[in-house]
Amino acid sequence: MGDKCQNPQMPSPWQYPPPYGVYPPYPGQPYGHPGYSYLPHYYYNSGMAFNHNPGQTQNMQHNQNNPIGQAPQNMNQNLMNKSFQSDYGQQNSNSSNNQSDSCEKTTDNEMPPLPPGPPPPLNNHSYQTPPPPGTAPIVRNPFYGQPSNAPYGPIKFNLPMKKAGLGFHVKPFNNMGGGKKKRKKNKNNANNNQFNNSFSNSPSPIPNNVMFMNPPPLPPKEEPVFPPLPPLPAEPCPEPPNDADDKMEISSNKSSEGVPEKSFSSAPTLEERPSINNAESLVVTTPTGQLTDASDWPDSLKNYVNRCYAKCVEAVDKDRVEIILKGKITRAASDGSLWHKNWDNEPLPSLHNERKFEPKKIFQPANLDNLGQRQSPAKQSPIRPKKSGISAALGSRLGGRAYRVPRRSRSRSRSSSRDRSRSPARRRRTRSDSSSSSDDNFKSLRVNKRLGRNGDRLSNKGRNNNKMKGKNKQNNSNKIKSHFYSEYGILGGVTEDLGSSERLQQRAARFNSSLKSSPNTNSPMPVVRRKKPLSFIASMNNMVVMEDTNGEGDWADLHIVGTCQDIEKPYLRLTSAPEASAVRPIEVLKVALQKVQEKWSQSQDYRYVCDQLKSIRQDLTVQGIRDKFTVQVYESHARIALEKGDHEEFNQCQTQLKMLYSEVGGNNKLEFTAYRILYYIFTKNTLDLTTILSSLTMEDKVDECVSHALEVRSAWWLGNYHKFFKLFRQAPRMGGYLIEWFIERERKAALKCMIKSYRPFIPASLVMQELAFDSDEKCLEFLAPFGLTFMDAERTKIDCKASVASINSV
Amino acid sequence: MAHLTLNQYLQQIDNAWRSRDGISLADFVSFRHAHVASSKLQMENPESSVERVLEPPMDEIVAAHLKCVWYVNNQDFVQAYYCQQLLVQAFVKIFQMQRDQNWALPVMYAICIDLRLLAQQADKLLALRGSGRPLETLEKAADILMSCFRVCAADNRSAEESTKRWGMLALVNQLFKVYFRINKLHLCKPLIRAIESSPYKDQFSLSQQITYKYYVGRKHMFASDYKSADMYLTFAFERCHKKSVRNKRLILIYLIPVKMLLGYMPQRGMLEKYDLLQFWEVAEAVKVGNLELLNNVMQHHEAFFIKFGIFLILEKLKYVCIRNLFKKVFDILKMSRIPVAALMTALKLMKIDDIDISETMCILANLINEGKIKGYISFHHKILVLSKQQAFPPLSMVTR
Repeated sequence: MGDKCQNPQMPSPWQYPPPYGVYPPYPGQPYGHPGYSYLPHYYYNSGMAFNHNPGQTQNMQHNQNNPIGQAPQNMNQNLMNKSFQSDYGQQNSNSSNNQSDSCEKTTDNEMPPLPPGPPPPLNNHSYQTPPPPGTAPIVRNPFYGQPSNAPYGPIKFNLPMKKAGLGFHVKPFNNMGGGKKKRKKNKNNANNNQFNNSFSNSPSPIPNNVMFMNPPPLPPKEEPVFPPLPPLPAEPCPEPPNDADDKMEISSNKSSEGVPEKSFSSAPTLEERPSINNAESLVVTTPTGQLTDASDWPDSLKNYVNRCYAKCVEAVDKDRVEIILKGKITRAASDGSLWHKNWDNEPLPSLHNERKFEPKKIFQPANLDNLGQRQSPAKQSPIRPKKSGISAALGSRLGGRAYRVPRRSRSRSRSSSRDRSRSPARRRRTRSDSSSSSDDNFKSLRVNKRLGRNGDRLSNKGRNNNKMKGKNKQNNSNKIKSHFYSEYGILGGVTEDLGSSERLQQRAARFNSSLKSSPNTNSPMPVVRRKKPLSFIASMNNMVVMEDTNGEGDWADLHIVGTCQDIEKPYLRLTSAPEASAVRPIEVLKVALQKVQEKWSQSQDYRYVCDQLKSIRQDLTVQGIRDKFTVQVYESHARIALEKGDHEEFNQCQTQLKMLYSEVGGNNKLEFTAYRILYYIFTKNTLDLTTILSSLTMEDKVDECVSHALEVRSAWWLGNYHKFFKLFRQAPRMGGYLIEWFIERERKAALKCMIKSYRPFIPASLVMQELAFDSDEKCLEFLAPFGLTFMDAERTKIDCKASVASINSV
Repeated sequence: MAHLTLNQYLQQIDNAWRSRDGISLADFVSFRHAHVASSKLQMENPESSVERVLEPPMDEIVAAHLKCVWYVNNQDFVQAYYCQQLLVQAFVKIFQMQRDQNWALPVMYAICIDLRLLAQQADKLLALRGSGRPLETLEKAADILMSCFRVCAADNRSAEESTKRWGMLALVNQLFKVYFRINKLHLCKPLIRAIESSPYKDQFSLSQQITYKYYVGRKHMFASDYKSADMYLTFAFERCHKKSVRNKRLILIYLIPVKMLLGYMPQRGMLEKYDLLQFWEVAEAVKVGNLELLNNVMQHHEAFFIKFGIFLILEKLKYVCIRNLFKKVFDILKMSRIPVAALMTALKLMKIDDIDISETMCILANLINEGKIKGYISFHHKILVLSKQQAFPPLSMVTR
């Protein structure tokens, strides 16, 4: 979804960098961000990320309306929907009281559904793969149909952010409030569930990624790439949201703030710690419960766990260890290393006291150290913490347990975010954060996309991106824009990642060369030193990749599966990749086609029918459906266009049909081959006519339509108007319609020929008969504009000699 | 040459580059040179080794070429094409910056020819694999060739001896080859205009001119402008080197139909020499007005005629044939007023069974309209009234 602009059909504003840098931050801006809340309307159109919001909200509503009931998990979904609604409600209402109530209710509702059967992360993987890597929208499908709550997490997550982006400045705060409440609820509600939730959620990151991008086929597993990182004992990211949905929601509501925190599961865990504290067993079992049974664990792992706990001195330590272990085990289970990993060599998590001395390196401790860290000036830098938090969050979602963020930032983000949300004193800061959060949102989106795109490189990219993000964070919105811009640029599937730095270099090189290019007398060419070693492998690969992505073959992988259930849908030219929610799946299309056909036979309203058929065709194309049904659609449209003389549409259909017949075959192949021959006569395309002739087999030529078309071709080519019009009268099926397209032209030529060769006159009846007019009136009507001379008042005889001059001038 | 080592090869290139020896340089980046067979030049990743010896602008070209050689020798023409495309693109950049110099033109010729041929091979390969649109690569190659062409055509400030515009015709010819293959003749128009308006129009090398005339002649033929087609194709045929038999034959395949339409029948000896006896049968049928034979012959050689795209043109010979047939009727009847029925009978004799008076009159109208018969039809009396003199003017005199 992330990359959709709300109406894909708009001449996409995306292509052009929004007037970002152009507008200096508003002077009066409290939040230090370039006109966030103040964004004037044009911003919406300018293709900023904010645009997503409206679109998304629409989608969301849409989805709610959709017959989701069909999907097996109605319950969860409904609940989810409710939660969405609640979100919106919160956002829209300013008063915290009402909200809080509603929030609580919602949370109650949500809570139960979410925790229940969260599929192990692996499942999610499977989800990733299936959606053809179309664009974000694609992801939606799996999304809704999915049993697991996981996917929802991300969405909410984005939503809020977007909202913030939209410039509902007030909302974030409200949301925050709501978020808090929920969270509390959560705590109270289900300690047990927490873990489950968190696990279920952890997978979610992955689907998210998918959602956001139009990834080329994603290698399903991102995590495996990263061996469990020993030094960073527990990657908190994997289990980001402990309180699964609640968390997500919160985060979403909070917008900017929320983001970072969620990503770090640690934060939540910390809060919940008290409840969990005593139960080591709990810690261990939770992960197991989902992934494996603790009893199933390899002994080495069990030992490892025991050792870890043995190390604990304080309750705090236990908590931390618990978190760390959970992360490790989850990751190991999800990437399958649980069993073969050498747990004996696994470094023990470092503990609070140990850590104190090296706070930078460790991020786990961050949780514990929350308070202390908060105060550290570095953390306080207003922008940074959030960003890092966000990126981390994304990373975790993205599936990146593998995802590593500079630790510092992580810890910071965690601590800060948590605290913020909680303590009223922090509010101010939070605000500013929220305003700035928009940036983060962008980035995060971007990251996602990238990840999706470069499936295998996922992990690496994630890292890089983070780093880059880190840099960008400090920059102003300009950079972000460029992000966006490039994002869209990427759509074709080229990996832009190859490198911003590379690019910069190239650009620099270009300038250099132009500067140096003054003619050099010694060498035939000015020598321009390359900055990097010569290698066009990259560029070649690039080319090939592009090829592939553009080419039919790989497009197939990018096709999405629609979710739209509308029978009627107006045609709008796509200017960007479509959203799944705006695309109808084939079952719906079949109904739609039937409807259109009925409508056509009833009303003959071509404009309407053409529009509908085009949108059907578009939906087929977008989803890469090329089968008998596709043939049927194109045939239907071709016939209707034929009847109505819509050359353009007919040609499009005809061209497609030609390819479709060669791919999937079809009973009407010869009929349409015949139409094509006639169409080439219409366009006087003798070269393509010859090509067709060469492709026809003897059997083809016997076909009624084809043989007729061939005779027409011959008669037309030789100017044998007598035969031509005779054939016109006998045209099988819809051939007559096509011949009518150029019949005037041929009549004129024939008339010229006749007038030049007959003397002294031709009877008008001969013209009528030879040129296949239905009646004298029509014939005379045809003759009128030529200014012919008649020999009698009744206009039955054309005086040829006198008419030659006028017919020649026509 | 075939055992050229990499260093020798690079050294020679470097020398050629420094001495601006376009012809030698062209050899070293062309596939029509023995070095491509050298086993020592087969490298998948030649970049670093090339870079060590050659200076920047050139190293990219040579490395791309070697990479291309490697792919070609591994039969991967798709990859090879991409290498060649990079090569040409790199070359264009360099070439453009060489102001007032055109010594690199031979290099351009060589790499452009290779580009097109590789594109054709790549398309074949893709077709075998069943991927991609037919002739997709060739269309891409056309774009690249166009970029070369633009560089050449835009160089109008240089002096005559150093202008790159001398390269235009060679590129136009390459582009013609592509456009004819992809059936997009309309794209030729601007190219033809560019050449026809060039001051060097008649000073390009003869071989290039011949190729050019051949394609332009064909284009005129497809546009039914037989007079111009005759002119261009005749030029090409007469000046084509006598040892280029294959080329001469190709020219004849188009020249003969055009000539026949204009009333000149080929001699048997010539047809035998170029193995084009298919035309002999056609010519014989047309000459004697044997429409039946003509139809049979056309059908018999349909595949051959369609392959070269001349089937439709030859079909027009039917009118020539009918003219000859009617002339025979006229010779027999020796009347200036011939009943249409008599002509219809003649047609029926030729196994045109479904003919009737109306259609006969229609055919007659066409013949008169085209000037092949002088006279008129009296509809009322259903007779053909022939002109007193030269009712059947020689085809070569007919203006159309």
